[in-house]
Amino acid sequence: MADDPLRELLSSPLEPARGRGTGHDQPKAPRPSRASGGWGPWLAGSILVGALAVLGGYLVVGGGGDDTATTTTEAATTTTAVISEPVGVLPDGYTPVGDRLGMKVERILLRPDAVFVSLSTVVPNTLAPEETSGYQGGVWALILVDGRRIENVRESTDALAPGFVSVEFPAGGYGAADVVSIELRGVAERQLEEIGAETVEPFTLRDDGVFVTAALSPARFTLDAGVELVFSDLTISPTQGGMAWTLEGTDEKAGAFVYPNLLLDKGEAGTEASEPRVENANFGFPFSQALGSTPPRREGRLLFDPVEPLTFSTGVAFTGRFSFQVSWTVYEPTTTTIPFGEDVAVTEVG
Amino acid sequence: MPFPLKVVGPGLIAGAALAFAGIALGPDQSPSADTTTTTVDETASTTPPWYRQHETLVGTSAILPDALTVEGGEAVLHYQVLTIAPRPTGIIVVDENGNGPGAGVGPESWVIETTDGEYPGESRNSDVHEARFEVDDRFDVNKVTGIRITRYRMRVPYGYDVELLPQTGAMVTLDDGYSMSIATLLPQSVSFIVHLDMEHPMDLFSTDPNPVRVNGAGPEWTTATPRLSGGVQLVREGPEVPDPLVLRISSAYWVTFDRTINVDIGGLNLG
Repeated sequence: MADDPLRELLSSPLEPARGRGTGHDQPKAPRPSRASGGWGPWLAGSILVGALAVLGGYLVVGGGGDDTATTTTEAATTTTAVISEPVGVLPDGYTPVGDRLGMKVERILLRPDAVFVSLSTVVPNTLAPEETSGYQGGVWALILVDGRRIENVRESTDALAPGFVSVEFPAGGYGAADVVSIELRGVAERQLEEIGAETVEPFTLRDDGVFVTAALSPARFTLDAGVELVFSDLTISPTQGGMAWTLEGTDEKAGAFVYPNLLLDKGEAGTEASEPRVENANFGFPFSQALGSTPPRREGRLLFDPVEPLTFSTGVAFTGRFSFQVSWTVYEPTTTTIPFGEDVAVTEVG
Repeated sequence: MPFPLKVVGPGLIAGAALAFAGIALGPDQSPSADTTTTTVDETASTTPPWYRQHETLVGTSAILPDALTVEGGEAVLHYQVLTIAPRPTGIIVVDENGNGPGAGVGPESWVIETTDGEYPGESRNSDVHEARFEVDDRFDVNKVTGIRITRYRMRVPYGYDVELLPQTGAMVTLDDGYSMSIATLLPQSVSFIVHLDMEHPMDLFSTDPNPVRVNGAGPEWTTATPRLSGGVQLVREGPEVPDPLVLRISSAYWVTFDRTINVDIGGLNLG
């Protein structure tokens, strides 16, 4: 047994060391060089190499080792993230939009005149839904499989459909299978300003009802973030006034709502009031409880109806005094890409 | 020292044998499908709920099954639909009780799974949070093994402009089953009246009598009022008839989604 190589390797450290003096054993004669402890390292090393070779091969050929390690790591990472950072957990399939919102594409409606993509929005599970500000609006682009980008026409929400938004795109030359994802630039800033203006020169309305024109001063207002609001001249008759506004500036995506007020000032003789009409800023119908919304616009028209008196006076020099409440919006420079999942409902009509 | 082949050879063989033995006798940690599923379930179970444990997420809502009872040949599932959507933006219309719009999601078709078979059922409409299942004498709530939703609705908003030729009969398709057409054009001396016919599916699930609203686009359109026939009358200022007519649609009808979702019945009271 003394020459049994395994015996030497597997001997317990508590056993009397072979070849070492214990104080009780008689010193043994030196072994021949070939059988002495000089071959022990060779033997131990070779066994170690053999074992490592087999273990290495086992791992390399995918005996479960690599996959197990990878899968375990990923699962552990996911679990750890959920446990350690519960804020921000979204339902499956939702893409984070900021840190307090998730969005998912639910439906695509294809019509001959337009394409609509509808998304749902949810809050992470540690936030109270009713106390959380939701989706604030944005500008969108469809990303097609061939790389094309289709810019949106408008988006729509409705208080009756909390958590949902539909985005309209122009139709033409693509179907649902061509869409890879949808890209969002969310609202970066929304402000409300009140501004004033008046007509440059006094004007007098005509008895024959023909419209007269009066320029505003100022007619151009710099809002912020590269957004400029420009008003047209006022055209007005005894029965109605009208004007238009447009947004100009470096940010082509910015949008606004304009809520006007116009008083016709005739000096010491007092003023005449008007009632403004705007471009259907909100859907409000007397027969329906529902109110939808329209997105900020790049341009709009304003009408002014006389209310007191029922027609504007003629033959009197007026100064038009305007006040405008302007709600304007600019969008983030960065985008969020929301993929089209396999469960997106597709409806094609027409 | 010469290379001790007679020692190294058996050593390599012995090492390999030990390694094989270790692999064979060691615990199996291969990623079987069961292991993966367990991992996913574990993750799901550690996700904090929006409202309570055993909720099922459907779109922007959490469905909470409360109780399953048997009443006269019917099984009745009572459940809650709670929103996980953010607070609506814009103007919110509340009812006489101060309640705002619902969750915007409604389960419609269900299946109860038991050890004896499956029982399909339906939810009557978006406001009633109970589903009824026709069951036979074998049905026993204690044999329920699962419940799944096979169809649900989501209330999807659509707001857009459409163009119509100013002539009687001009029609535009809005969605599957939804269309709008011009019934009558009535030019007046100082205004212009349009009568529209609105077609939409007979949807018993929805409790909204006016799923599609329409008005003219632009400040010249002054009023939009319902017609007794179910359509809408629009009035536009001025006698001229624009070509095309640009009309603005706003709707929030219930869209059908045929997707299967397994319901977590861990919190269900079977009685």
